[in-house]
Amino acid sequence: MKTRSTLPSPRRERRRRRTQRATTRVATLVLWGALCAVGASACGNTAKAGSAGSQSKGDLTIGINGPPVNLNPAKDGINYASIVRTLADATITHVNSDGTIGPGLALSFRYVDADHRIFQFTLRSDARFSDGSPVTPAAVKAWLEYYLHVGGPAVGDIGQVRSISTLGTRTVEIQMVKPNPILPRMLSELYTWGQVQGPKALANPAILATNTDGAGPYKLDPGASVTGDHYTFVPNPYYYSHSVVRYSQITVKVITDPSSMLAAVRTGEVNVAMGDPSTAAAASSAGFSVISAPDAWSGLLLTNRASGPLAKLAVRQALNYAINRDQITQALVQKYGTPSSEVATPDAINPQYVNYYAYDPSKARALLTQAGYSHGFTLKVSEGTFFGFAGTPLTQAIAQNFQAIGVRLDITSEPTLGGLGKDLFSGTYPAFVAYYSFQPMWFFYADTLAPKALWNTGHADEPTLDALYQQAAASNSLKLWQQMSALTVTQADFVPVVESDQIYYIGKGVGGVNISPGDPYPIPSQWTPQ
Amino acid sequence: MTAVPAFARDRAQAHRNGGWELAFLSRRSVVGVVLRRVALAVPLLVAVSGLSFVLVSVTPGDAARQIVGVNASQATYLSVRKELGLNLPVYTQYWHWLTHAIHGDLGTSLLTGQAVGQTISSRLPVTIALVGVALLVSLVVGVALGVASAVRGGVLGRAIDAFALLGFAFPVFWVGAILIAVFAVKLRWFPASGYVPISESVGQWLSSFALPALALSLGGIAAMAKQTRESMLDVLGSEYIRMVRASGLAPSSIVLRHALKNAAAPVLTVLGVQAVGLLGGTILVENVFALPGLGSLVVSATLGHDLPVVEGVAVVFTLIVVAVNLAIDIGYTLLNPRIDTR
Repeated sequence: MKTRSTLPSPRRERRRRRTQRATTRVATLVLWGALCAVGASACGNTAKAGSAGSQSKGDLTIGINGPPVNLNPAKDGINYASIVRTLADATITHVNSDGTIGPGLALSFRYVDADHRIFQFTLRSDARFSDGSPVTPAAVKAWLEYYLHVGGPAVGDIGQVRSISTLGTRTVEIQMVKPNPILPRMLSELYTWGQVQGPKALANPAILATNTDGAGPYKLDPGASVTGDHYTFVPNPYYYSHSVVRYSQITVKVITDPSSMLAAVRTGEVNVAMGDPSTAAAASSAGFSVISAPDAWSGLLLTNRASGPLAKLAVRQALNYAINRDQITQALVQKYGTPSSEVATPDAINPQYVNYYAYDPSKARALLTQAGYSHGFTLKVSEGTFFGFAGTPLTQAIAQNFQAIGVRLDITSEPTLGGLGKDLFSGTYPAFVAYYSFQPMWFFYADTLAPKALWNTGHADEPTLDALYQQAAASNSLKLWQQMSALTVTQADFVPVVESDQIYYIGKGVGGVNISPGDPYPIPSQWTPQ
Repeated sequence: MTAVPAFARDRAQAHRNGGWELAFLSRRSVVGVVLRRVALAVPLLVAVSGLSFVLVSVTPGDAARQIVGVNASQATYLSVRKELGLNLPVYTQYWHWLTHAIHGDLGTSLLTGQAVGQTISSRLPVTIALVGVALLVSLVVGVALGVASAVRGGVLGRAIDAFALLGFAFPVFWVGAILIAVFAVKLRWFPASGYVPISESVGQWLSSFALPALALSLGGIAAMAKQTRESMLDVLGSEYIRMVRASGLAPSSIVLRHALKNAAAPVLTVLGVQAVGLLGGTILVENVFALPGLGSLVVSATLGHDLPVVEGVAVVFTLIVVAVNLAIDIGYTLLNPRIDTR
């Protein structure tokens, strides 16, 4: 009987079941409501997918594959995320889509001396920062000096600045300690020094962590942005040329996974996206316009050419002959790259050296024997796994090719830039697997070839190259830059493998997206709704 | 008598005492559980944050190199390192962080310069909602499948078992990619990426979570289904259920009201484990669906050696785990006050 008392009576059970049925009906209604809401939203997606996803007319969404390190241009280097900053930051000079440099905030610019040390530019009078204050020579000078003072990642690339001064009411003068013939380029969208921020931001630079104060066509809407995920831009009411402000809102969305990026383009959620060799063919098949332009070279940076096996020219040449560039290029980037024996630069590339080291393992072995390494040797290399195809896949391909001639790679894989930096400054790695963006020969020499260059840890000195550099830097002669490039090939200073492209997918409804080897990063203010 | 589950006996006792004793016991137990969990959370937070600090610190490289880049000179690098306090011993750095964190200041991101509290608060709703929706889907669908499998058995039971195995086997990022290809690209039912705040549109908010939550919950559905089936089979075979059947109640009532309630405790355990597992799963899902949550944040922060952000996220994740465990313990206590959750 006691047990019986613990069980519900049939009457109580009937009452409970009535309550349960009522509850079930309410729950069903709620569930249907939710499903209808999702359904309505899903239908909305379908309807808009053909145009611009969830955007209203006049909106634009751009997909990039990594966020800017910092919204403050002084604290960010040159990277793929420059597309974010070019929306809000007008630059002193402007890079045209063909790579030539034209007026930006500066209406005119020139070197006033013969050897490219003194550079002057005259600012336009109608430019204003997004906080409303005018772009004056004093404001620009303050920004240029702040940039040098902050010590960001790109400041070392500029060279030593002697002084920055204002001349008259509209002119600024930069004096360099040594010749720098690429200042017009360095003050454009291709670098961050020319992305001037206003005096109000400089008075409290912390605000640049979450906001912008540039003189560009748009300004950041911090309330509608999440750092590292998406950045929403609205028109800058003070921009000097309203005709280029063609969108009421531009959202830059970070999508790191290439397949997800393509899916976002296909559904219309993203209008223009940074592509990837792994999905480019699918994007093309799906009917999207795929544009590409060379923007980097990958291969081995030989950082210690002063001691060990790499000190011998025959060894370095053997390593170059051992690489099957055609095969590696096809495997890694398919048609979005070109095999090359020459380090790629926008101003010095010499086409006759592109295939200088045709694949020839027999010749490579003979050269090794000639150098006294008939049994090969072990080469210690460091690679950054974050370089995508130019990380572990390229390293393994190089290792396989080298193994065929008896050279074994002792690989250290670094998942972060910090780890790569640690390896570089340890001085114990004679070679690095590199992904190196196109840089003018002036820049490239200072970074990798000069006796005290960071990426010349062995301090190898090549007097002929040094002499050529001195002349080329002062004269900015194309012929001399090309001679330098040729010399790096014949001296086998590096083991370049592939010149790879920057790829973009263009969705329907956007026009004017152009890139070139001189400017592989399209500038959204040049795009037009169609 | 001995075969009657404890829960049923407690109900009987409560009936005899007019329900007051059970209510009192439950309240006392719940307060005790909350106090114990909160007390345990403090050393847990210190341990987790300390361990995270050490693990990120021993990873090669640091935020200073990330900030100045590879091309900066060693002097510039060392200067920035000193400025950020990264030249101090790890325990000193951790102590500085801890003393500020106790006062509610989680610091500033070393890379972006943004306040960590602000960064986390902008992303927390996404992760909480994602995990919440995924957990709900796991619970509802998993329990329904588990009950159906236990009650019907046969082909349906085997099919559900097979589904459970597949749910465990498929990696979440792969499932996400397939869902995007089918439901976003092909059918255009749901968006492929991104997040719409609930304040903008409830429908689009739900829609933006549909595929990520489904991808995330697949493993959870499998686990819940499996556990529910096992527990239900145990309970359905018990003497208590035989006696309930003998009382003439409808089969659906026996299953849903009596058997399922008594099978709930082990299912609740799995639910707690799933909730913690789903937090880890958000790291992959948020990347595949480009959601601005804490999972994608912690990945980029860890790769950038951004210690304050990593610490902030570790603290938040730990608090969520503590809260989930607390909720599970309270659930146990309410289901059966005799369960000792100490």
